[in-house]
Amino acid sequence: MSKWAIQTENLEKVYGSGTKTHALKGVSLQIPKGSFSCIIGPSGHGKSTLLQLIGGLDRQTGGRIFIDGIDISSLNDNKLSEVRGEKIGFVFQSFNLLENLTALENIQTAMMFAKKEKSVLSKRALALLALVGLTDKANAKPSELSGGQLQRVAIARSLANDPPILLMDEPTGNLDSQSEHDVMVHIKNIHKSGKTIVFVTHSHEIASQAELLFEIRDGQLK
Amino acid sequence: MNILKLVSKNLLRRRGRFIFTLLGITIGMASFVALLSLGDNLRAEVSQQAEDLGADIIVMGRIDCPFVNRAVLAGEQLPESIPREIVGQIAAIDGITASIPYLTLGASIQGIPITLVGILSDDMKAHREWNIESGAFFADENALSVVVGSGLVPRFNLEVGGMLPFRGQDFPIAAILQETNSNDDISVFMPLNVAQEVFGLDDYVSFIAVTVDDVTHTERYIAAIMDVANLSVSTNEELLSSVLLILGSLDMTLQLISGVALIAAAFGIINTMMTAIYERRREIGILRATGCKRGMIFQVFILESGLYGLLGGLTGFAVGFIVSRVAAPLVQQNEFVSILGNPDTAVVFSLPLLLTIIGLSVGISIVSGFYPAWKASKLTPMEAIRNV
Repeated sequence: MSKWAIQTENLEKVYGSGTKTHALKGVSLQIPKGSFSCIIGPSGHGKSTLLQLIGGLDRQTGGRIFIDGIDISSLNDNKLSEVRGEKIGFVFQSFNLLENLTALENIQTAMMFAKKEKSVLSKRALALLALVGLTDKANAKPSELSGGQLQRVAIARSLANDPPILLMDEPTGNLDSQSEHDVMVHIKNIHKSGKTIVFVTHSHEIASQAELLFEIRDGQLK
Repeated sequence: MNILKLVSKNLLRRRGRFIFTLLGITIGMASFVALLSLGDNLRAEVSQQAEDLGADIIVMGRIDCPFVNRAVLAGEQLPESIPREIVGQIAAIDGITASIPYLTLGASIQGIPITLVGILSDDMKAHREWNIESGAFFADENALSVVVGSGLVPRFNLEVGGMLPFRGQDFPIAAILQETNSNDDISVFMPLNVAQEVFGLDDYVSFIAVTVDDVTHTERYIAAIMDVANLSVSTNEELLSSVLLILGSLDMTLQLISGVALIAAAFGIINTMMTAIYERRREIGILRATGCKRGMIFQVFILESGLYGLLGGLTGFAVGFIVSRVAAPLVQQNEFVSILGNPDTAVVFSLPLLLTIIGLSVGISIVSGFYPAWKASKLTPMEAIRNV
């Protein structure tokens, strides 16, 4: 058993075939299990790219990534999807909820692909909504929720399949200060339950709340 | 939440587009249903006519064409081209059990065209297995009276004893036949001798229906008949297949028309699914981010296409069924169709037909959904999320 939740070795990412953009240049890091880490840096310097590669949403052009000891760089698309489903939960800046589904259905949709019993999943979806304090919004559509509420639903959804790792890409970026505070309280509570949290932000104030800090500039760790 | 529920919600997300796409499939399937049954019903009608004629061999004048063959089956007017003595000569051939002449003439009742058939009454009554509804059959072969089919009675208010004028001469109605569900129901029958005399014809008949004692040797009888008379001789089956040949080309035309409608519907589905995939890239990305595999995305979109097919098949069948019932009287008046008699062109409900239509509709929809579903499944999670 690896003690690292996430490890990268010389991670490279180059975009484009003509004019190439070197988004990541040999990034190596280790994130321990159960830690609360933050990747900080200015916009456009590779923070989100790093998070997307770690989460298996995109493929690196060089180097290796280990999630819970599994080298995901060499996995085929199906295996990678399995790892994403079992090990990782995502929270995006723009919430990315499905507009035509209710808050509860959004969470249940994320559970659809897990091989678990339906009754268990249904109870769990309600419990997750309760965890983020939105039981009364179970049947509300995203258009009926505030920004802070949307992000809390997104956080509940990221926990749908009980993944050990949560990757969050500027989860408070679109929120007012009150909502930001609410969301941070929920994230910290989730961390206390034993989840590994990796957080991308360009806010030093939020970054100061993390246990581990990775600063990235021009695609390289400082 | 399961895949089917997710797909149903997606399907109804853009109600206008859903309805118009469904309408496309419905029209395609409805035209297929209506035209398919039109062809089937016409074929069934002609086959029934051939069976009603009850002949093993048909002897006609030397005109061998499907339209003349069809006129024989439909009991319509044909030129009197066979000398009557041939009837007796054919009857005398060993193994021939009946040689029944028909003289089919054009006449009218109250200005409406009908077919008047000159017959040898005893032969005909036995051969056609007629029953009399009211009145009495011709007293002899020279009786100056007519027997009418049951279908004409309500239409022209006929009754036994009433008079029907033909060629300036009034003929009392001697009898009304019981319903036969054949062309006999809409024909007027007159003794052959009388018909020839009234219509000023020489001793000729239009065609002869022949029955034989051994249908496995019809070729031998045909050769024997051709020895007696230089005429067109064919089996009932040959007659039927020559008429079905016309129907084959009619069928082909109808199927091509509905085929075009189906192809248009298929492209409607492709278009809708491609638009849906473009609009739902973010959703695809989110599903992929939560662990959904490519195959599952493919399945979601194929299921969505398939649902269009299922619903379109059901509504198409229902609409085709209703339209064919409403349009049946109009279709029957159509010249093209009326050459085949007066078939019932309405769709008859049958479970196999319904299942065939649904199967076809779902099949076409799934095939149409293949390319869009494949495109959707090829998107990487980041491509899908990033491009919104």
